[in-house]
Amino acid sequence: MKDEEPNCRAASKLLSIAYERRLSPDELAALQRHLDECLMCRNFDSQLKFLHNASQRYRTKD
Amino acid sequence: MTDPRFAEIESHRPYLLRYALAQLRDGRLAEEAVQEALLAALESIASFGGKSTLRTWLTSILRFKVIDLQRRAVAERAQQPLHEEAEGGDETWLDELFDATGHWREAPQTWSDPGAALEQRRFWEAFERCLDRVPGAGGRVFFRREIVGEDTEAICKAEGITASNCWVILHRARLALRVCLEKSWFGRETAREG
Repeated sequence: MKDEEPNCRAASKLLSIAYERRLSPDELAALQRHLDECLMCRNFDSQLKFLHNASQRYRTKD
Repeated sequence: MTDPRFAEIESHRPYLLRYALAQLRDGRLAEEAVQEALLAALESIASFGGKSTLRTWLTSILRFKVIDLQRRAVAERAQQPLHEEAEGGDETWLDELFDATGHWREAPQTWSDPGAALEQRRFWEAFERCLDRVPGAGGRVFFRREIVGEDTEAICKAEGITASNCWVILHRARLALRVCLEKSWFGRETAREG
């Protein structure tokens, strides 16, 4: 199923896993094609960044 | 005896407890570690120079208490790996969030001014409530990965699970946090400001 375009379920998983390992060029390209067309997954992408930043802030928060 | 920093130290207890719980996976041990760390902190508060934040300083004290307790509790139940649960291996929970064609059942919204949320005390209360609601190992693994900033590899090893299971657990935790924050904070934008 390598040539299949990722749906939201697969794309969101790739977005999350990108915080744990480097995505392959194929994965990145497919992900980018999906993001270009999907506002919901772009929102999810922003939310992951927010969770990441908030978590770091939480660690040192006074 | 009424150093104002005593109350300040105490205000970090909930965070420290989450930290200890993520590492020790045992409420009683975690309480014990935090209690010992806070006592040690009170004794040596004079040596806190303010070079880091108080939370960072307290965490560094707690870290050693946790390591100490881990050593003492090696044979205890708390140290058993969770691979029996195989939480990461099963992805049927994703069906609750995505339909048969892989589309979001509930579309993630555009969060307005998330940066401003970080400056609000009530946001952090919501954040902590959401952290506590992440199911299963997710809360613990998310805390160690995203908040403490540990390597995925070290966390997987401690949890006794494979890397890909670890990633799935983290993904699930992030999705749960996303839903929770959208409902409890970002979804109430107008209600809160009105």
